[in-house]
Amino acid sequence: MSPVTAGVPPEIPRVNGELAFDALWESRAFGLAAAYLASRDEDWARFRRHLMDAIAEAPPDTPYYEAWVTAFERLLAGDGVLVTAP
Amino acid sequence: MGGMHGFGPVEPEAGEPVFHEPWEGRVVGLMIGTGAAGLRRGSIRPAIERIDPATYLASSYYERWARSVEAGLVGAGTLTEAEIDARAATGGARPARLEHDSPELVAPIRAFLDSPQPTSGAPAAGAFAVGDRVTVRRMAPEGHHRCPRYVRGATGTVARIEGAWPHPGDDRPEAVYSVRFANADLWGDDAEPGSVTVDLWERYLT
Amino acid sequence: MSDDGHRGAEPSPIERRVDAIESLLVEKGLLTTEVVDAIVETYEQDVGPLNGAKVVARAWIDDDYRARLLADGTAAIGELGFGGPEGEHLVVLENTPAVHNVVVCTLCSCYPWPVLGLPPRWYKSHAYRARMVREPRTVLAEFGTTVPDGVEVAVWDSSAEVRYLVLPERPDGTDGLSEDDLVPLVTRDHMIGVVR
Repeated sequence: MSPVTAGVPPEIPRVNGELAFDALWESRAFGLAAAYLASRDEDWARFRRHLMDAIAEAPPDTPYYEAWVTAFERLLAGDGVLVTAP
Repeated sequence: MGGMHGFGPVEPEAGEPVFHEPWEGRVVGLMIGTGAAGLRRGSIRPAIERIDPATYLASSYYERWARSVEAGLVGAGTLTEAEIDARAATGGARPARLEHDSPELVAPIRAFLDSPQPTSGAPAAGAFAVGDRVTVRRMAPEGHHRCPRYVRGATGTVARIEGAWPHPGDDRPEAVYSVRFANADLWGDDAEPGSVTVDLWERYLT
Repeated sequence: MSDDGHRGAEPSPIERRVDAIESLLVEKGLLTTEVVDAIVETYEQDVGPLNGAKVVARAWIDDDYRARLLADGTAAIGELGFGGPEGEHLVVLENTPAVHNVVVCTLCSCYPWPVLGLPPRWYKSHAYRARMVREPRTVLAEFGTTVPDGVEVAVWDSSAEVRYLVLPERPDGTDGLSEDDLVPLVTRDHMIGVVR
Protein backbone atom coordinates (compact mmCIF):
# COMPACT_ATOMS: atom_id res chain seq x y z
CA MET A 1 0.00 0.00 0.00
CA SER A 2 1.49 3.31 -1.00
CA PRO A 3 1.53 6.01 1.64
CA VAL A 4 -0.59 9.08 1.04
CA THR A 5 1.27 12.22 0.17
CA ALA A 6 0.64 15.90 0.65
CA GLY A 7 -1.28 17.91 -1.88
CA VAL A 8 -4.85 17.68 -3.02
CA PRO A 9 -5.41 16.50 -6.57
CA PRO A 10 -7.15 19.37 -8.34
CA GLU A 11 -9.74 17.11 -9.94
CA ILE A 12 -11.54 16.25 -6.66
CA PRO A 13 -15.09 17.33 -7.47
CA ARG A 14 -16.61 20.04 -5.32
CA VAL A 15 -20.21 19.18 -5.94
CA ASN A 16 -21.47 20.25 -2.54
CA GLY A 17 -19.70 23.25 -1.12
CA GLU A 18 -15.99 23.77 -1.00
CA LEU A 19 -13.31 21.21 -0.33
CA ALA A 20 -13.52 19.85 3.19
CA PHE A 21 -9.81 19.29 3.73
CA ASP A 22 -6.69 21.33 3.13
CA ALA A 23 -4.42 18.34 2.62
CA LEU A 24 -4.80 14.67 1.84
CA TRP A 25 -3.55 13.57 5.25
CA GLU A 26 -6.37 15.53 6.87
CA SER A 27 -8.95 13.60 4.86
CA ARG A 28 -7.29 10.30 5.79
CA ALA A 29 -7.22 11.27 9.46
CA PHE A 30 -10.92 12.07 9.29
CA GLY A 31 -11.81 8.92 7.38
CA LEU A 32 -9.76 6.68 9.67
CA ALA A 33 -11.48 7.95 12.80
CA ALA A 34 -14.90 7.71 11.20
CA ALA A 35 -14.26 4.21 9.89
CA TYR A 36 -12.90 3.02 13.22
CA LEU A 37 -15.93 4.34 15.13
CA ALA A 38 -18.30 2.89 12.52
CA SER A 39 -16.64 -0.51 12.88
CA ARG A 40 -17.37 -0.35 16.61
CA ASP A 41 -20.93 0.86 16.06
CA GLU A 42 -19.99 3.89 18.07
CA ASP A 43 -20.88 7.58 17.71
CA TRP A 44 -18.46 10.48 18.08
CA ALA A 45 -19.01 11.18 21.82
CA ARG A 46 -15.95 9.36 23.13
CA PHE A 47 -13.70 10.68 20.38
CA ARG A 48 -15.00 14.20 21.00
CA ARG A 49 -13.88 14.06 24.64
CA HIS A 50 -10.34 13.27 23.52
CA LEU A 51 -10.54 15.98 20.87
CA MET A 52 -11.61 18.61 23.39
CA ASP A 53 -8.74 17.62 25.67
CA ALA A 54 -6.23 17.70 22.83
CA ILE A 55 -7.44 21.12 21.71
CA ALA A 56 -7.34 22.48 25.25
CA GLU A 57 -3.83 21.16 25.92
CA ALA A 58 -2.21 22.24 22.69
CA PRO A 59 -0.96 25.78 21.98
CA PRO A 60 -3.89 27.89 20.76
CA ASP A 61 -3.03 27.93 17.09
CA THR A 62 -2.25 24.27 16.74
CA PRO A 63 -3.76 23.13 13.44
CA TYR A 64 -7.06 21.42 14.06
CA TYR A 65 -6.26 18.10 12.45
CA GLU A 66 -3.06 17.75 14.44
CA ALA A 67 -5.18 17.84 17.60
CA TRP A 68 -7.50 15.39 15.82
CA VAL A 69 -4.67 12.92 15.23
CA THR A 70 -3.54 13.23 18.86
CA ALA A 71 -7.11 12.55 20.00
CA PHE A 72 -7.39 9.53 17.71
CA GLU A 73 -4.09 8.08 18.94
CA ARG A 74 -5.27 8.40 22.54
CA LEU A 75 -8.55 6.71 21.69
CA LEU A 76 -6.71 3.84 20.00
CA ALA A 77 -4.23 3.54 22.88
CA GLY A 78 -7.12 3.45 25.36
CA ASP A 79 -8.74 0.66 23.35
CA GLY A 80 -5.51 -1.33 23.41
CA VAL A 81 -5.28 -1.19 19.63
CA LEU A 82 -2.03 0.75 19.58
CA VAL A 83 0.68 0.96 22.17
CA THR A 84 2.28 4.36 22.52
CA ALA A 85 6.03 4.53 22.99
CA PRO A 86 7.15 5.05 26.59
CA MET B 1 -13.50 -3.91 32.42
CA GLY B 2 -12.10 -0.63 33.68
CA GLY B 3 -9.88 -1.02 36.71
CA MET B 4 -9.50 -4.81 36.51
CA HIS B 5 -5.95 -5.94 37.14
CA GLY B 6 -3.76 -8.90 36.49
CA PHE B 7 -4.07 -9.21 32.74
CA GLY B 8 -0.68 -7.84 31.86
CA PRO B 9 0.24 -5.00 29.56
CA VAL B 10 -1.16 -4.84 26.05
CA GLU B 11 1.70 -5.59 23.69
CA PRO B 12 1.60 -6.15 20.00
CA GLU B 13 3.46 -9.33 19.02
CA ALA B 14 6.58 -8.66 17.04
CA GLY B 15 5.93 -9.74 13.46
CA GLU B 16 2.26 -10.35 14.24
CA PRO B 17 0.46 -11.90 11.25
CA VAL B 18 -2.44 -10.02 9.72
CA PHE B 19 -4.87 -12.40 11.42
CA HIS B 20 -4.03 -15.40 13.51
CA GLU B 21 -6.89 -17.23 11.87
CA PRO B 22 -8.72 -16.28 8.66
CA TRP B 23 -12.05 -16.22 10.49
CA GLU B 24 -10.95 -13.18 12.47
CA GLY B 25 -10.78 -11.08 9.34
CA ARG B 26 -14.20 -12.28 8.29
CA VAL B 27 -15.67 -11.13 11.62
CA VAL B 28 -14.49 -7.60 11.01
CA GLY B 29 -16.05 -7.52 7.58
CA LEU B 30 -19.28 -8.96 8.96
CA MET B 31 -19.32 -6.40 11.73
CA ILE B 32 -19.12 -3.46 9.38
CA GLY B 33 -21.22 -4.98 6.63
CA THR B 34 -24.09 -6.25 8.78
CA GLY B 35 -24.20 -3.04 10.74
CA ALA B 36 -24.26 -0.90 7.65
CA ALA B 37 -26.92 -3.05 5.98
CA GLY B 38 -29.16 -2.94 9.06
CA LEU B 39 -29.06 -6.69 9.53
CA ARG B 40 -28.24 -6.50 13.22
CA ARG B 41 -30.42 -5.07 15.91
CA GLY B 42 -28.82 -2.99 18.58
CA SER B 43 -25.36 -1.65 19.07
CA ILE B 44 -22.35 -3.92 19.39
CA ARG B 45 -21.41 -2.42 22.73
CA PRO B 46 -24.45 -3.50 24.76
CA ALA B 47 -24.18 -6.95 23.15
CA ILE B 48 -20.56 -7.25 24.18
CA GLU B 49 -21.44 -6.15 27.67
CA ARG B 50 -24.15 -8.84 27.91
CA ILE B 51 -21.72 -11.68 27.23
CA ASP B 52 -21.43 -13.83 30.35
CA PRO B 53 -18.30 -12.66 32.20
CA ALA B 54 -16.60 -16.05 32.22
CA THR B 55 -17.00 -16.34 28.48
CA TYR B 56 -15.93 -12.75 27.99
CA LEU B 57 -12.66 -13.15 29.83
CA ALA B 58 -11.75 -16.37 28.09
CA SER B 59 -12.62 -15.15 24.62
CA SER B 60 -10.17 -13.60 22.31
CA TYR B 61 -10.84 -10.12 21.01
CA TYR B 62 -12.34 -11.29 17.69
CA GLU B 63 -14.28 -14.07 19.33
CA ARG B 64 -16.14 -11.48 21.42
CA TRP B 65 -16.99 -9.57 18.26
CA ALA B 66 -18.18 -12.73 16.57
CA ARG B 67 -20.48 -13.56 19.47
CA SER B 68 -21.97 -10.07 19.52
CA VAL B 69 -22.45 -9.98 15.74
CA GLU B 70 -24.25 -13.32 16.04
CA ALA B 71 -26.43 -12.04 18.88
CA GLY B 72 -27.32 -8.98 16.86
CA LEU B 73 -28.23 -11.01 13.78
CA VAL B 74 -30.39 -13.40 15.80
CA GLY B 75 -31.98 -10.52 17.69
CA ALA B 76 -32.97 -8.87 14.41
CA GLY B 77 -34.38 -12.11 13.01
CA THR B 78 -31.90 -12.13 10.14
CA LEU B 79 -30.63 -15.58 11.09
CA THR B 80 -31.74 -18.11 13.67
CA GLU B 81 -29.54 -19.92 16.14
CA ALA B 82 -30.72 -23.20 14.62
CA GLU B 83 -29.60 -22.17 11.15
CA ILE B 84 -26.21 -21.10 12.42
CA ASP B 85 -25.76 -24.27 14.48
CA ALA B 86 -26.79 -26.45 11.56
CA ARG B 87 -24.48 -24.79 9.07
CA ALA B 88 -21.60 -24.84 11.52
CA ALA B 89 -22.14 -28.55 12.16
CA THR B 90 -22.30 -29.63 8.54
CA GLY B 91 -19.49 -27.39 7.29
CA GLY B 92 -20.61 -26.65 3.78
CA ALA B 93 -18.85 -24.64 1.14
CA ARG B 94 -16.77 -21.61 2.04
CA PRO B 95 -18.56 -18.45 0.99
CA ALA B 96 -17.73 -17.48 -2.60
CA ARG B 97 -15.17 -14.74 -2.90
CA LEU B 98 -15.79 -11.94 -5.33
CA GLU B 99 -12.96 -11.48 -7.78
CA HIS B 100 -13.35 -7.72 -8.04
CA ASP B 101 -14.36 -4.68 -5.98
CA SER B 102 -18.11 -4.23 -5.72
CA PRO B 103 -19.62 -0.78 -5.54
CA GLU B 104 -22.77 -2.36 -4.15
CA LEU B 105 -20.82 -3.46 -1.09
CA VAL B 106 -19.88 0.12 -0.37
CA ALA B 107 -23.42 1.41 -0.87
CA PRO B 108 -24.76 0.08 2.45
CA ILE B 109 -21.95 1.87 4.23
CA ARG B 110 -23.00 5.08 2.54
CA ALA B 111 -26.60 4.44 3.56
CA PHE B 112 -25.49 3.83 7.13
CA LEU B 113 -23.69 7.13 7.15
CA ASP B 114 -26.67 8.97 5.70
CA SER B 115 -29.39 7.62 7.94
CA PRO B 116 -30.41 9.34 11.16
CA GLN B 117 -28.86 7.67 14.17
CA PRO B 118 -31.02 6.89 17.18
CA THR B 119 -31.22 9.89 19.46
CA SER B 120 -31.20 9.88 23.21
CA GLY B 121 -32.79 13.31 23.53
CA ALA B 122 -35.48 11.97 25.83
CA PRO B 123 -37.96 14.55 27.14
CA ALA B 124 -36.48 16.11 30.23
CA ALA B 125 -38.13 16.15 33.65
CA GLY B 126 -35.58 18.25 35.41
CA ALA B 127 -35.24 20.83 38.10
CA PHE B 128 -35.58 23.96 35.97
CA ALA B 129 -38.18 25.44 33.63
CA VAL B 130 -38.00 27.88 30.75
CA GLY B 131 -37.69 31.37 32.19
CA ASP B 132 -35.90 30.32 35.38
CA ARG B 133 -32.81 32.26 36.38
CA VAL B 134 -29.93 29.83 36.92
CA THR B 135 -26.32 30.26 37.99
CA VAL B 136 -23.45 28.16 36.72
CA ARG B 137 -21.50 26.53 39.54
CA ARG B 138 -17.90 27.54 39.95
CA MET B 139 -16.11 24.25 39.67
CA ALA B 140 -13.02 22.51 38.50
CA PRO B 141 -14.53 19.18 37.49
CA GLU B 142 -12.58 15.95 37.48
CA GLY B 143 -12.68 14.01 34.29
CA HIS B 144 -14.61 14.87 31.16
CA HIS B 145 -17.16 17.64 31.17
CA ARG B 146 -18.63 20.16 28.78
CA CYS B 147 -18.97 23.32 30.83
CA PRO B 148 -17.18 26.20 29.10
CA ARG B 149 -14.99 28.20 31.47
CA TYR B 150 -16.36 31.57 30.46
CA VAL B 151 -19.84 30.91 31.95
CA ARG B 152 -18.75 29.61 35.33
CA GLY B 153 -20.22 31.75 38.08
CA ALA B 154 -22.48 33.62 35.66
CA THR B 155 -26.26 33.86 35.95
CA GLY B 156 -28.55 33.48 32.95
CA THR B 157 -32.09 32.54 31.95
CA VAL B 158 -33.29 29.16 30.73
CA ALA B 159 -34.31 29.84 27.13
CA ARG B 160 -35.04 26.32 25.86
CA ILE B 161 -35.05 22.77 27.14
CA GLU B 162 -34.21 20.40 24.29
CA GLY B 163 -34.06 17.13 26.15
CA ALA B 164 -31.95 14.89 28.35
CA TRP B 165 -28.69 13.17 27.43
CA PRO B 166 -26.14 11.20 29.41
CA HIS B 167 -23.39 13.44 30.71
CA PRO B 168 -19.95 12.39 29.40
CA GLY B 169 -18.99 9.26 31.29
CA ASP B 170 -22.54 8.55 32.53
CA ASP B 171 -25.34 6.30 31.29
CA ARG B 172 -28.37 8.03 32.74
CA PRO B 173 -30.05 10.86 30.75
CA GLU B 174 -29.80 14.22 32.47
CA ALA B 175 -31.64 17.38 31.46
CA VAL B 176 -29.68 19.84 29.30
CA TYR B 177 -30.70 23.50 29.34
CA SER B 178 -30.04 26.21 26.77
CA VAL B 179 -29.17 29.09 29.10
CA ARG B 180 -29.04 32.63 27.72
CA PHE B 181 -26.53 35.05 29.25
CA ALA B 182 -26.45 38.80 28.64
CA ASN B 183 -23.03 39.80 27.33
CA ALA B 184 -22.66 42.34 30.15
CA ASP B 185 -23.07 39.55 32.70
CA LEU B 186 -20.25 37.57 31.06
CA TRP B 187 -17.80 40.28 30.05
CA GLY B 188 -18.69 43.43 31.99
CA ASP B 189 -20.46 46.67 31.17
CA ASP B 190 -18.12 47.52 28.32
CA ALA B 191 -19.22 44.46 26.39
CA GLU B 192 -21.07 44.69 23.11
CA PRO B 193 -24.85 44.40 23.58
CA GLY B 194 -26.25 40.97 22.89
CA SER B 195 -26.40 37.48 24.34
CA VAL B 196 -24.70 34.11 24.35
CA THR B 197 -26.76 30.94 24.78
CA VAL B 198 -24.91 27.87 26.04
CA ASP B 199 -26.17 24.28 26.42
CA LEU B 200 -25.50 23.09 29.96
CA TRP B 201 -26.18 19.86 31.82
CA GLU B 202 -28.28 20.20 34.96
CA ARG B 203 -25.38 19.28 37.24
CA TYR B 204 -23.60 22.50 36.20
CA LEU B 205 -26.48 24.71 37.38
CA THR B 206 -27.95 25.97 40.57
CA MET C 1 6.19 2.00 -12.63
CA SER C 2 2.98 3.72 -11.54
CA ASP C 3 2.66 7.47 -11.61
CA ASP C 4 1.24 8.83 -8.38
CA GLY C 5 0.98 12.23 -9.99
CA HIS C 6 1.41 14.06 -6.72
CA ARG C 7 4.45 12.62 -5.02
CA GLY C 8 6.09 15.81 -3.97
CA ALA C 9 8.34 16.63 -1.06
CA GLU C 10 9.26 14.29 1.77
CA PRO C 11 6.16 13.51 3.90
CA SER C 12 5.86 15.71 6.97
CA PRO C 13 5.86 14.15 10.43
CA ILE C 14 2.08 14.37 10.69
CA GLU C 15 1.63 12.69 7.31
CA ARG C 16 3.92 9.87 8.39
CA ARG C 17 1.90 9.50 11.56
CA VAL C 18 -1.40 9.27 9.72
CA ASP C 19 0.08 6.77 7.25
CA ALA C 20 1.32 4.71 10.18
CA ILE C 21 -2.06 4.69 11.89
CA GLU C 22 -3.82 3.68 8.69
CA SER C 23 -1.31 0.91 7.97
CA LEU C 24 -1.54 -0.46 11.49
CA LEU C 25 -5.32 -0.42 11.65
CA VAL C 26 -5.61 -2.18 8.30
CA GLU C 27 -2.99 -4.75 9.29
CA LYS C 28 -4.85 -5.43 12.51
CA GLY C 29 -7.98 -5.98 10.46
CA LEU C 30 -9.94 -3.23 12.18
CA LEU C 31 -10.87 -1.49 8.99
CA THR C 32 -10.23 -1.54 5.29
CA THR C 33 -8.98 1.13 2.97
CA GLU C 34 -12.19 0.82 0.96
CA VAL C 35 -14.32 1.80 3.94
CA VAL C 36 -12.08 4.76 4.73
CA ASP C 37 -12.23 5.87 1.09
CA ALA C 38 -16.03 5.63 1.05
CA ILE C 39 -16.36 7.76 4.15
CA VAL C 40 -13.98 10.43 2.90
CA GLU C 41 -15.78 10.53 -0.43
CA THR C 42 -19.14 10.90 1.30
CA TYR C 43 -18.01 13.97 3.20
CA GLU C 44 -16.18 15.46 0.24
CA GLN C 45 -18.97 15.06 -2.28
CA ASP C 46 -22.34 14.08 -0.95
CA VAL C 47 -22.70 15.87 2.36
CA GLY C 48 -22.33 19.62 2.31
CA PRO C 49 -24.02 23.02 2.51
CA LEU C 50 -26.14 22.33 -0.58
CA ASN C 51 -28.24 20.18 1.73
CA GLY C 52 -28.83 23.03 4.14
CA ALA C 53 -29.53 25.44 1.30
CA LYS C 54 -32.36 23.18 0.13
CA VAL C 55 -33.81 23.17 3.62
CA VAL C 56 -33.70 26.96 3.79
CA ALA C 57 -35.20 27.43 0.33
CA ARG C 58 -38.04 25.07 1.22
CA ALA C 59 -38.71 27.04 4.41
CA TRP C 60 -38.77 30.30 2.50
CA ILE C 61 -41.36 28.97 0.04
CA ASP C 62 -43.54 26.87 2.35
CA ASP C 63 -44.79 28.37 5.62
CA ASP C 64 -46.02 25.02 6.96
CA TYR C 65 -42.60 23.50 6.37
CA ARG C 66 -41.01 26.48 8.07
CA ALA C 67 -43.18 25.93 11.14
CA ARG C 68 -42.27 22.23 11.27
CA LEU C 69 -38.60 23.10 10.81
CA LEU C 70 -38.61 25.47 13.78
CA ALA C 71 -40.60 23.02 15.93
CA ASP C 72 -38.46 19.93 15.22
CA GLY C 73 -35.41 20.54 13.08
CA THR C 74 -34.26 16.92 12.89
CA ALA C 75 -37.62 15.65 11.64
CA ALA C 76 -38.18 18.42 9.10
CA ILE C 77 -34.64 18.14 7.76
CA GLY C 78 -35.20 14.39 7.59
CA GLU C 79 -38.23 15.01 5.34
CA LEU C 80 -35.78 16.17 2.66
CA GLY C 81 -33.70 13.03 3.15
CA PHE C 82 -30.85 14.53 5.17
CA GLY C 83 -29.57 13.03 8.39
CA GLY C 84 -26.80 10.97 9.91
CA PRO C 85 -23.85 11.45 12.24
CA GLU C 86 -23.80 14.78 14.10
CA GLY C 87 -27.36 15.42 12.99
CA GLU C 88 -29.20 13.47 15.63
CA HIS C 89 -30.56 16.60 17.23
CA LEU C 90 -30.81 19.61 14.97
CA VAL C 91 -32.30 22.91 16.06
CA VAL C 92 -32.98 25.65 13.53
CA LEU C 93 -32.57 29.27 14.64
CA GLU C 94 -34.72 31.79 12.83
CA ASN C 95 -33.25 35.16 11.93
CA THR C 96 -35.81 37.96 12.21
CA PRO C 97 -35.72 41.75 11.84
CA ALA C 98 -35.01 41.84 15.59
CA VAL C 99 -32.50 38.99 16.01
CA HIS C 100 -29.44 37.79 14.12
CA ASN C 101 -28.19 34.36 15.18
CA VAL C 102 -24.65 33.02 14.88
CA VAL C 103 -23.23 29.65 15.92
CA VAL C 104 -19.91 28.60 17.47
CA CYS C 105 -18.51 25.62 19.35
CA THR C 106 -16.07 26.97 21.92
CA LEU C 107 -15.00 23.53 23.19
CA CYS C 108 -14.07 21.87 19.91
CA SER C 109 -15.81 22.10 16.53
CA CYS C 110 -19.35 20.76 16.83
CA TYR C 111 -21.21 21.46 13.61
CA PRO C 112 -24.38 20.16 11.90
CA TRP C 113 -22.68 17.83 9.41
CA PRO C 114 -25.74 16.48 7.57
CA VAL C 115 -26.79 19.94 6.42
CA LEU C 116 -23.47 21.76 6.17
CA GLY C 117 -20.83 19.05 5.69
CA LEU C 118 -17.57 19.41 7.60
CA PRO C 119 -16.70 22.75 9.16
CA PRO C 120 -14.31 25.19 7.49
CA ARG C 121 -10.89 25.76 9.00
CA TRP C 122 -11.74 29.18 10.44
CA TYR C 123 -14.70 27.74 12.38
CA LYS C 124 -12.32 25.38 14.18
CA SER C 125 -9.68 28.04 14.86
CA HIS C 126 -8.85 29.23 18.33
CA ALA C 127 -9.50 32.79 17.23
CA TYR C 128 -13.10 32.13 16.14
CA ARG C 129 -13.93 29.93 19.11
CA ALA C 130 -12.58 32.39 21.67
CA ARG C 131 -13.69 35.66 20.11
CA MET C 132 -17.17 34.91 18.78
CA VAL C 133 -18.62 34.64 22.30
CA ARG C 134 -16.74 37.69 23.52
CA GLU C 135 -16.96 40.22 20.65
CA PRO C 136 -19.37 38.87 18.02
CA ARG C 137 -20.02 42.13 16.19
CA THR C 138 -16.30 42.72 15.77
CA VAL C 139 -15.77 39.22 14.40
CA LEU C 140 -18.77 39.58 12.07
CA ALA C 141 -17.31 42.83 10.77
CA GLU C 142 -14.18 40.87 9.84
CA PHE C 143 -16.43 38.69 7.69
CA GLY C 144 -17.75 41.87 6.08
CA THR C 145 -21.02 41.67 8.00
CA THR C 146 -22.55 44.68 9.71
CA VAL C 147 -25.50 44.10 12.00
CA PRO C 148 -27.60 47.27 12.54
CA ASP C 149 -27.73 48.58 16.11
CA GLY C 150 -31.41 47.76 16.53
CA VAL C 151 -30.84 44.07 15.80
CA GLU C 152 -29.71 41.80 18.62
CA VAL C 153 -26.79 39.49 17.91
CA ALA C 154 -27.54 36.16 19.60
CA VAL C 155 -24.58 33.79 19.80
CA TRP C 156 -25.21 30.05 20.32
CA ASP C 157 -22.46 27.85 21.76
CA SER C 158 -23.19 24.22 20.81
CA SER C 159 -21.60 22.88 23.98
CA ALA C 160 -23.75 19.78 24.38
CA GLU C 161 -25.63 17.51 21.95
CA VAL C 162 -27.70 19.98 19.94
CA ARG C 163 -26.37 21.13 16.57
CA TYR C 164 -27.59 24.49 15.32
CA LEU C 165 -28.46 25.74 11.85
CA VAL C 166 -29.32 29.39 11.17
CA LEU C 167 -32.36 30.08 8.99
CA PRO C 168 -31.46 33.39 7.32
CA GLU C 169 -34.07 35.94 6.34
CA ARG C 170 -35.26 35.69 2.76
CA PRO C 171 -33.62 38.48 0.76
CA ASP C 172 -35.75 41.35 -0.52
CA GLY C 173 -36.75 41.21 -4.17
CA THR C 174 -36.89 37.40 -4.40
CA ASP C 175 -40.66 36.97 -4.33
CA GLY C 176 -40.83 35.79 -7.91
CA LEU C 177 -38.13 33.14 -7.62
CA SER C 178 -38.81 29.43 -7.55
CA GLU C 179 -37.48 27.16 -4.80
CA ASP C 180 -34.71 25.94 -7.13
CA ASP C 181 -33.70 29.53 -7.89
CA LEU C 182 -33.52 30.36 -4.19
CA VAL C 183 -31.12 27.52 -3.33
CA PRO C 184 -27.97 29.18 -4.76
CA LEU C 185 -28.66 32.31 -2.70
CA VAL C 186 -28.09 30.39 0.52
CA THR C 187 -24.45 29.88 1.47
CA ARG C 188 -22.75 27.95 4.23
CA ASP C 189 -21.74 31.20 5.90
CA HIS C 190 -25.39 32.33 6.01
CA MET C 191 -26.29 29.12 7.82
CA ILE C 192 -23.51 29.52 10.39
CA GLY C 193 -24.55 33.14 10.79
CA VAL C 194 -21.34 34.98 9.93
CA VAL C 195 -23.04 36.48 6.89
CA ARG C 196 -26.52 37.98 6.57
